[in-house]
Amino acid sequence: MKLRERFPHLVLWLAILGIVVFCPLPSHAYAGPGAGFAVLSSFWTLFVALLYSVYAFFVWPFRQLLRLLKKRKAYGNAQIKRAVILGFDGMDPELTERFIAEGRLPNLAKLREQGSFRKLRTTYPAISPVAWSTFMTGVNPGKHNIYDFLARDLSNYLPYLSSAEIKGPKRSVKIGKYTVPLGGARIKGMRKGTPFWHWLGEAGIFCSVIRVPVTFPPEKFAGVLLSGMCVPDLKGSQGTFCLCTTRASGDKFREGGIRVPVERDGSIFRSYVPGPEDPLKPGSGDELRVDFEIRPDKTGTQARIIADSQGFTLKIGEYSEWIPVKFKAGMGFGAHGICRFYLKELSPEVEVYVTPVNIDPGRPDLPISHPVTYSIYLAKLFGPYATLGLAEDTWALNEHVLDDDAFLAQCYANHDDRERMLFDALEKTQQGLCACVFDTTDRVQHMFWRYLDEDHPAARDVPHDQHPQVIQDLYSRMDVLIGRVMKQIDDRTLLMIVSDHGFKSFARCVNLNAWLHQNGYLALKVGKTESGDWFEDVDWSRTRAYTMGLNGLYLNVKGREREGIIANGADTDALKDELRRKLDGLVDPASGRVGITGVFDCDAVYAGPYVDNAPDLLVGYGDGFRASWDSVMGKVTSEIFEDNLKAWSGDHCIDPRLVPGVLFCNRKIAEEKLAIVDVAPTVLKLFGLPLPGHLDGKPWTVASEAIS
Amino acid sequence: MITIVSGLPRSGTSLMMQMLAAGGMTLLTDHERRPDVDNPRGYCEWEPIKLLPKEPNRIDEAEGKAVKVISQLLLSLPTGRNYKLIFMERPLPEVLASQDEMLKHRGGATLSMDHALLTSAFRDHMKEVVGWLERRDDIPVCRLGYRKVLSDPASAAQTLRDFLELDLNVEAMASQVDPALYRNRKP
Repeated sequence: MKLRERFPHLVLWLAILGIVVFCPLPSHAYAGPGAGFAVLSSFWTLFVALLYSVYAFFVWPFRQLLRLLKKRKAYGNAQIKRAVILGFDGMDPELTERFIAEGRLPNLAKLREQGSFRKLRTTYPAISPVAWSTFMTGVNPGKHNIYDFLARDLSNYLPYLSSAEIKGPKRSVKIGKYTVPLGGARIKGMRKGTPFWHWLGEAGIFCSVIRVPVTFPPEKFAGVLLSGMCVPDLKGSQGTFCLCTTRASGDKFREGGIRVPVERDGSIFRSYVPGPEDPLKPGSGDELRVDFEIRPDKTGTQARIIADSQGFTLKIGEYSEWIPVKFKAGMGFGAHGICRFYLKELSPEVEVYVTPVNIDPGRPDLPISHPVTYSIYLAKLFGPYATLGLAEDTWALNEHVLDDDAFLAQCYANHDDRERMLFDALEKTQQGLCACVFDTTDRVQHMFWRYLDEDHPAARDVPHDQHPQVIQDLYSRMDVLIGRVMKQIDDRTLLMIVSDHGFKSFARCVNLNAWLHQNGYLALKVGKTESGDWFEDVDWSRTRAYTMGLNGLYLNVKGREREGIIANGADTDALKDELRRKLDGLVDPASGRVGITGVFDCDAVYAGPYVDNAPDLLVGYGDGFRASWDSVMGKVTSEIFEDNLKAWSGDHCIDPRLVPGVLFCNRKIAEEKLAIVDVAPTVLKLFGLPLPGHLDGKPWTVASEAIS
Repeated sequence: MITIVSGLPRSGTSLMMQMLAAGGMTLLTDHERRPDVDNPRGYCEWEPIKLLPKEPNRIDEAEGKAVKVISQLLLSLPTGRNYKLIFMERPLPEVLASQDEMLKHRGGATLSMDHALLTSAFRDHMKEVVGWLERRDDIPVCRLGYRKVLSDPASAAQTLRDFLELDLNVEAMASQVDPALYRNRKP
């Protein structure tokens, strides 16, 4: 049929349209463009929305059918419908067994009796970012490139965060004294290897992943993910708290905190929350601030705080909710954060503790989830929540800015938020993977081990019968959570309780740099007997070995380090052998105990494309020991061994053979010896997926029947 | 994923392509350039890659495959793709000696007169490439030494498999290495 026959008035309509468009009548009144555009745009939006609704309505049955078919295909070879993995960072097998024996953990006891319980071999070294990276990728650190929290810059011997690098925007424009950024910050993830949920997602199996460490920056995959450990605060640090105080300035905090003065103005006290660097003046050191006021009431027991135009009242010893704060830089630039205020004291001095300023999950300035809307969705559902990787402020407790109770309150508030997220994910993920890691277990054990240890230096003044049962309560609380999860799952769901490592007392510090210095491997500049942080006074031209971070020992290799002196090859091998011989079995003269129970050659421990970034040796400290606070920061002191007097009194960065993690499962597992590297291949196999050949882990033989 | 094999000319990129093919990977090649005395097993090249500066989208044809992109062309790789890059490294004197040999076989003059100039030019070029790689931090890179591949092919093959995270046949990859073809050595 011809066009003219189908549309008999086509020419007429085209002519009218042409007249309207090309021969408009002159307007006798001003008609601004705004109204016209507004009508057009709102009409256009409505029109498109209507079209899309009609389209969505008609294709919905087909999409549902397609989804069903895809799901069938995805789960065609699966032995399970859903895998729920609860990660409890640092849950220790010996303590767990002890508390089970004491009858404190009925749900874990049930899993042990009817399902499986094993010690889970951890990674070398037994550090969370390393072990969780291995958990998710199923490979050794030589293939995922994470060896510690810190890595060293070969060009200047300084540390950098091993998991992610955040740089300023690629381009900027200079306008007067301002540098206007064009685009957002650039984030580079340093962890390599593919997490197993990416393979699952590709196969059409949906995954909800919540706060697994070293998932920042979030990577694209077919599922949802909220990043965990290693997400920075708004300052770009791993957590910088702030103590606002009227007290005259005290000692500088060793790490993790800033003192800010509180100024009196009549009956009002004024202070501020320090924020990120001014983005319009990069490199200037100028920070953005949010001012706040403290107005004590007449009773002296509570105060009204007004921050960023929001007012709230706090009693002494009370936390605020998460308060949104906006750091304004001018020209429309700024940063959105959230923080909590804790009123410490009103008389005779005024002191307020402010948590590190977390990235606002409802308005994230950096991506902290995939898709980016997932963090916003959770914030809308439950309100603001902690987004910082190390959200529990261990430094504030170490520095006596927070007391035990305030620290615990902070930990459990974060924990409660995490529980809510987990149960939401469980509800939304009826098929697929639901993995959630809880950090509370790690932080609380780090900070309260002093009350478990009979003679810990950090609790010598506290009578033993007054030691609070913090760790016992922690395990009981986790057991209750596990019980609630067990009630929500059916017999086609696999439940795994996983920890990345165990725990031991950290009573004695070992300054390995001091040992290297005293034994002629590390040289200081003439006239120096100690060095500042980060090798400030080290003479590299005479230094053969050095250490920084928690377990790595490095040789000063020619052609690799900036001022290396050891030739690669036979010389490095000989030096490694020598150091291993001398350090393995090193005895603490004060206690007579062995401070180092193993020194491992990384060439033998790791294999993969990123082994060149590994340390040369790994030092395995004995039970009760760990690298000293100074040694971790590249400082040489005169004492090799010293007491650990900090609240941070338990640790796991020791000989990995001494701190295995735990594995509980609601099914029987045939193998006796299990390792964290096996989790990824086991889950892939249970979902019926082929195992990629590069994986180091081996899948376990898991029974098809779950416990009732 | 697009697997890129790169490096200076005569740095072992053809060998790397042969290893990947033996391991089970599909190559993007057109066999335009025939095997010769300098590369008896072939060059594994794809002519249209030379159009990359003008037609960057041509790289999409390499999706799911490995393609050789000499280092000069790397800088034209467009963003927004999922790449993995294997970068071959070989000492510059060996690269130049090998290029000399190649020119001799083609009946041309050798480069020996210009070695100093070329060394300096290659160094500058490598600096440019390294700088580019730092900026393109979306591309995971595996740097492999030509000498290391020849001295320990099994380990190199394993490294490749681990880097690419593909089920490549490690033994078959390692068997591609023929030390007899390592002819232009420098101490």
